[in-house]
Amino acid sequence: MKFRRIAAVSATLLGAASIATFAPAAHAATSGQNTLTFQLSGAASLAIAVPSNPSAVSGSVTTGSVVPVTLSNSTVTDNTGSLLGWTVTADATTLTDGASPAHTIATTNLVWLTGTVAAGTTGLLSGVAAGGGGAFGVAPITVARALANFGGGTYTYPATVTLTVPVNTYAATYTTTVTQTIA
Amino acid sequence: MTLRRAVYAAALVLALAVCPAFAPTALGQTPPPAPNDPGIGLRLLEAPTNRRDDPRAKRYIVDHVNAGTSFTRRIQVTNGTDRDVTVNLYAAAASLNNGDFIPASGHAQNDLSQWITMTPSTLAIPRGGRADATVTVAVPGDAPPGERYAVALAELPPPPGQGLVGLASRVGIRVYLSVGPGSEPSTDFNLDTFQPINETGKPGVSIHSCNTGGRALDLGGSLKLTNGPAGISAGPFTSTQAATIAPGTCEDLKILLDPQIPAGPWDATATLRSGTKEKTSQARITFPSPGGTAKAVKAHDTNKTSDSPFIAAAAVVAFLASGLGLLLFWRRRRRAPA
Repeated sequence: MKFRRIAAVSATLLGAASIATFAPAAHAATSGQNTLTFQLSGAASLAIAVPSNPSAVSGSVTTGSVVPVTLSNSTVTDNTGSLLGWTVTADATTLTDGASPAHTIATTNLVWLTGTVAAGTTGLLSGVAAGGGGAFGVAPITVARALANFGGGTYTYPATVTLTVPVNTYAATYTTTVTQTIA
Repeated sequence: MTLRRAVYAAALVLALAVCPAFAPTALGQTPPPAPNDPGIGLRLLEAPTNRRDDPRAKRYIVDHVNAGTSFTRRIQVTNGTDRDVTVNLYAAAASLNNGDFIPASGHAQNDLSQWITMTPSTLAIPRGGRADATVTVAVPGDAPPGERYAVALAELPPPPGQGLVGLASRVGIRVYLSVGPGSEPSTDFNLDTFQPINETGKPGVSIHSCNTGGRALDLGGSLKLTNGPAGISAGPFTSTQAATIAPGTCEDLKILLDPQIPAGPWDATATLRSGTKEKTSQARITFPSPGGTAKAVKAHDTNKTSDSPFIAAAAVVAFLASGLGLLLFWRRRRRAPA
C-alpha cells in the first residue's frame, strides 16, 4: 500500500516537473520589451593577439619598387566552446606622412599575405586555414578562418604586408594602421 | 513518516536530475579564474532564456524584436597582453558575403550599428585584468522590418612607436537582429541538390542549400554514405566549409571526403544544422573521376520535424508519468475502505 502511494506521488511529481521543465523551451515567447536573460558561465572568450609593431623599413620612391614588411606571429584563441568557427579579417588605413597637407598612398598598393597557420598545443589544424589575402582598400581581407565544428584552441600565423610604390609618390615617411578583426 | 521521507528523497533526486548544471555551484565549488587568453578577448556574459538551447545565442547577439524595442547585453573584455591597455568599444557594420560574416573596415556604419551603443566607450584594463561593459540595442519605432547585421567591437589600437605599419586588433561579437511585428520569422532552409565533385583526387559533395526562412543561417554539417559498392558504408564526414547565408539566398556547402572512397554509386545522406534547426536530405550519387564533373542530383528530405526532437520525447514522458500517477491514485482510492 505504502509503496503504491509513494510510486503514485513520485510519478505525478515527475510528470508535473517534466512539463514544467520542458514546456517553456518549446517555442518560447518572442523577445519583447523585457527579454529575460541568463548568465553564461566560464571564462570562454574569443581572443586575438597581434605582434608588436614591426620595425621601420625604407625603400625607394621609384615607381614599382617593393617594400615588404614581415609580421611575426599573430595568435587566435577560441575557448568559447561553441565551435561556431571564426573569421579573421584585416583592413588598413590610408598611408599618410601626417604633414599638412598630408601626402598619402592609397591602401590598394598594400597587399596582405597570411603565412602558414600552425595549431598551438590546444588547437587542431583541420578545418582551420589561412585566408586568400590580397590588396587592401576594396573590402576587408580574409586572414584566416575556422569552419563550424572546428577552430577550438589556439592558432598562430605569420604574415607579410607588402607596399608596391605607385607612380608619383612623394618622398616622405608614411605610416598606416593594419587592424586584424576576429568575429 | 515513510511517505514524507520518500517524497523528499524523490524530490531531491528529481531536482538533481533536472538541474545537473547547477549542482557544482550549489556545492560551492567555484573554480579559480583561468588566466586570460593572449591578446584581447571578448565574450558575452548573458543570453536570452528563450534561446538557452541555441549555441549561436551564447556567443553572438541573436534576437528578434519589435520596432521601438531596446535591450541590453553585458559583455566582458579581457587583457591578456603584457601591458596595461585602453580598449575602445564601438559597433560597426557587418555583411554576409560569400558565406562569411564580414565586419566592415574601421568605423563604417549601417542601420543596426547606429542603433547600438556600448557603455563605457573606452575601458582601461590593467595587464591580466578584465572589465565588463554593456551593449544597448535601441531599435527606433519606425525601423522597417528585416534582418540586419553588425558587430560589437573591442579594439586595441597599435602601441605607440611604429614604422610603416602599426598593428591593431579587434574582437567582435556578431549581432544578428531581426526586426518586425509579431513573432520571430522562422529559421528554415532546404538542401536542394547534391553535386558530386572530385577536387584533386578527393571526392566530395557540393550541397546547394537555400535559406527559405527569415533569419540568417550559420550552416555546418556532415555527410554519410550508405548502400555503396558491395553494400559498404562510410562516414560521417564533417563539412570542410561553413556558410553564413542571408534570408532568400543560396550557397554551396562543400563536404570533401577521403581519397580512398570508391566512386559509388552511394546513398548520400547530408545533415546540416544552424543553431537548433537541423535538416537531413538524401540523394543517390556517383563521384566523378579527378577533375571530372557530374550532374547535380535533386535531394529529397528524409526528416522534416527535427527542430526539437527531445521536446516531443519529454512531452511523452511527462504524459505517461502523469497518467501512471493518476491511475495509481485512483486504484488506491478504490481499494481504500470507505
